[in-house]
Amino acid sequence: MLLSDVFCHFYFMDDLKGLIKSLNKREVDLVRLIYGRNVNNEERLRLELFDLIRSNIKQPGSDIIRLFGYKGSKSAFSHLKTRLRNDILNIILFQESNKKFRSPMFSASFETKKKMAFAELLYRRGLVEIGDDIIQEGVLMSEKYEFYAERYILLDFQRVTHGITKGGSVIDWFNKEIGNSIKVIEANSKVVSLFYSFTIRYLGKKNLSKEKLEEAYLILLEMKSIYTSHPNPRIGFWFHRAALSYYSYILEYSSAISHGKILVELTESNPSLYSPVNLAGASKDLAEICISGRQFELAVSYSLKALNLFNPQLNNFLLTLENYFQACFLFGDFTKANDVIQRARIHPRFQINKVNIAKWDYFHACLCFRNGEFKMALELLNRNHSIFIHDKGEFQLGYRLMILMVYVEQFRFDELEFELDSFRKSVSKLKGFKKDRIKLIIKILNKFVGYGFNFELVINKNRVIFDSVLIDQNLLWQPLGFELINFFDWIYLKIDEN
Amino acid sequence: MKIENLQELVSTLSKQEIRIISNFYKSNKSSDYLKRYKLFCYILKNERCTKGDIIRDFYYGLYSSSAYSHLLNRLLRDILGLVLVQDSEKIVRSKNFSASLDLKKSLLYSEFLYRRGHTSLGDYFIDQGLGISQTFELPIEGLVLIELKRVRYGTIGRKNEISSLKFKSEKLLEESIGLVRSLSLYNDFGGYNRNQFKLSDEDISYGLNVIKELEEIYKRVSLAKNGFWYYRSAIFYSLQVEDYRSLDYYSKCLLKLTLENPSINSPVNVAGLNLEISEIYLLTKDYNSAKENIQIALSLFNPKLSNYLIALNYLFLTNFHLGQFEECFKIYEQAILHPKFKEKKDNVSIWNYYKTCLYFKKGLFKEALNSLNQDANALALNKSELFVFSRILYLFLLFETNKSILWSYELASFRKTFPSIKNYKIDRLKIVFFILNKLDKEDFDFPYVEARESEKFEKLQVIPNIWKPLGFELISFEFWFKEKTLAFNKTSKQKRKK
Repeated sequence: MLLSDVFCHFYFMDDLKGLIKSLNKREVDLVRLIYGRNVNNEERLRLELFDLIRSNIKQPGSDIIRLFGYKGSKSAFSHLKTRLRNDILNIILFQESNKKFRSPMFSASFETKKKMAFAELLYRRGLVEIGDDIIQEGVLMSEKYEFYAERYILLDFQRVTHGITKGGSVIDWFNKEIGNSIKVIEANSKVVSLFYSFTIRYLGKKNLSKEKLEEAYLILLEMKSIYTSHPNPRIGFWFHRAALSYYSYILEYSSAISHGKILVELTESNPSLYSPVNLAGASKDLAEICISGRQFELAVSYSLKALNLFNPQLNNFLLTLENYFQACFLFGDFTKANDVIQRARIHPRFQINKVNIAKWDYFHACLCFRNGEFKMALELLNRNHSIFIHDKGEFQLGYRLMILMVYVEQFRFDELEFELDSFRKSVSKLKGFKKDRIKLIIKILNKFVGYGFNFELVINKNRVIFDSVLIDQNLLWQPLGFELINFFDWIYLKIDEN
Repeated sequence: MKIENLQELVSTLSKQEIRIISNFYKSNKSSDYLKRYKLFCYILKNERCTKGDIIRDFYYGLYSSSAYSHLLNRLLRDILGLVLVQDSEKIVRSKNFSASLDLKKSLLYSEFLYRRGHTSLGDYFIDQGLGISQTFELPIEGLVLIELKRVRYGTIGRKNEISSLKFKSEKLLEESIGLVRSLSLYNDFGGYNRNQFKLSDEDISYGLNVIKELEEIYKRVSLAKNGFWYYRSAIFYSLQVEDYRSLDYYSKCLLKLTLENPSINSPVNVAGLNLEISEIYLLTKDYNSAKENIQIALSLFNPKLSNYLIALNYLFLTNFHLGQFEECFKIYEQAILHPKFKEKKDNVSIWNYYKTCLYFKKGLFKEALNSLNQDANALALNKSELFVFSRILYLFLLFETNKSILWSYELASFRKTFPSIKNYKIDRLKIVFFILNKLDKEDFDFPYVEARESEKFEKLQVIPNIWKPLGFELISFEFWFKEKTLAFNKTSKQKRKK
């Protein structure tokens, strides 16, 4: 036996174990019942394997295989497992399915597919009238939820069957309707392809050239034209998602926010798009754009909306808590921001990842910094030193800049000078993002050291820099970047304090 | 839903299916399930139970229409769900259909598994489904699978896979569009009405364009299904223009294509093809070969479906032209008891006309006249080919029953209907009518009319006026006329002898 065969064997067994583990009591009873009353030897073996896996669910797959002690050939065993898996799926799937999914859209998608299987069965048995009823239900459902491929398949059953007996205008009607469905399917498929090529080939890359940006804009226009000729919510969903990404990429946040709002509205009002997860996702995306567009109050409300919709146990909820924290913090509601940190720390997924802990400690440090608790802030930052310095992105910059700002606040200028040098080196090593603003920050801090730690002098002698960070697109503060606290605003604040 | 539909469904269940359904209900003790089980057993015992019976025995007079319909619907869904629990090959006999059902199951499995987070198993079923969709040429189902996968990969950012899925999606879409177009063209060209009418010259020239486009689609999107519609249309066209050599060629191509490709090699298609070949034999008056092909078709069609009834129609015509009238009576009895017989109004008129022709051939003219009069009103409403030949048969019958005094009146009223006759080329009818009129004028002197109108008789021997064994002219005018001429000559000889 090859190593790969062994691997596949166990791998498959683990899938089967996972499936059996997810069965509820009623489903287990049903599997046992379906097998229990049959006398077929092969089915009896499937039941034995099913019971063995259930009673040894915590054992590794290899142990279960050994315990089962199957004497037949490898392929027969593989066949046995496949049959067992398919039987389990059939039993789960073809029972009442309305409780299987939380979202009506997922439930409808599943139900429509089930009706396709029912219709196939009924038509093949010549039960056309009852099959028509099922198809009618399926077609209505597919129209409501925009499952055009499913609509096509259902109508095609009828076309073939009724075409033979009725012909003429009936066939014409089916051809027209199926033709309409295929047009929407084509448009939808095209828009999805454009969306992925848009995000992967263009917006997935940093520092796009002007030509590439123009190409991306043309794709966006093509998507818009498809949406105009097929104003279906699903198509609109992909177009507005693309528009949101495009405008936030070019930092036109007001346009991005308006597309984001339409996206949320579309998702909320159309059964074909609505699911708690989809609406939460759209709200989360909008909250992020609102943060970038400095509409912090709006960001608070959309991130809260997303939090109310995501399952509180899952990772998406924790990720949205990040946005909620950022929005509250930047809006200036530090009490709420502190509550968010406490909520995040008790989330079931919080401890899973060390980077996650470090990130929340960084947020916490920013909050302490804002509240003047510099010692606590430094302690939180130093706690994750090794994680921060190994980060190859903006996270490391945020950490290092915050340390420098704390040193300034604590008048620890020797340490500041030393740390500033190492900051400069690390910036030159990091790749893949725009460094113009961080370079200016280093320059300003160097001047600060050079001018005897006098910020007022620094501002007066570098007015051009201070003006440019307010107007130059490449130098603007990005609230979702490395700098949660705007460095230049902080300097102005320092001068006001003095 | 009606109780009759449910009865029909229950009547198709196998013993194994009844056992599974019973076991399922026996394991559920809730009153709702017990009621469904009670209804299931009730239907099994009382095959012809009515809504009234159920209201009486289940609701004891306290009838609520919503509770009744809810009960029926729940039972229906339980039965369908439990039947589908079995392996597809146990549910439908054709390999082709069981693959199509398996594909629907793959759609359900993968969607369910994705939603439950069993992604690797979900991927497995998507790949399995894609394999089936490719082998059995079901591209739209393949597209649903691809889109499911594309959204999943999009969510987790698998760029390379997304690009490759884009190409697959485009290919499947092109195949789907090709199939929709092929089938629409086939339908446009009267594919489904081939047994009902003859095309006009304009339609025939349109047909040539249709065939060219179908050929082009088949070359571009080389799916066997496209070939299937192309060859079928070409066969239909050849039949219309009476090009029997092309008819033979395309039929052979189609048979080869069908037998070589699993996507179209289904019992129904093979049966349909045999029926088509039998048509060629019928047209070339090789009735014994036609009969052989029809017998093959009958052995492959589901005896409960409409196709079977169509094949019985062909078998009747073949036997009729072979002079096997007793066999025809048996086929007639079989046809009128067929479950689909009453679904189409025309069936009553057609088979009643067939019976009349049988009586006529057996010399039972009185019975034939009665039989024809039974359906006279329905025939007069629908002025089709059937109406034309039933009128001519009526004239024959008037002659045979010595009521030829009514001919002139009947002929005049028949003549008035000519402009409203639908879907029938009346060239042959005009000649026949002319001769019938002449007969009336010449006091039914058959030899005299034959000699006088020899030119007209010659015209009846050339395409497109020649008599065809397919269609409703079961009793050929020329044959009847010849018979009568012989009889006339014989009587004249006897008179002369006397």
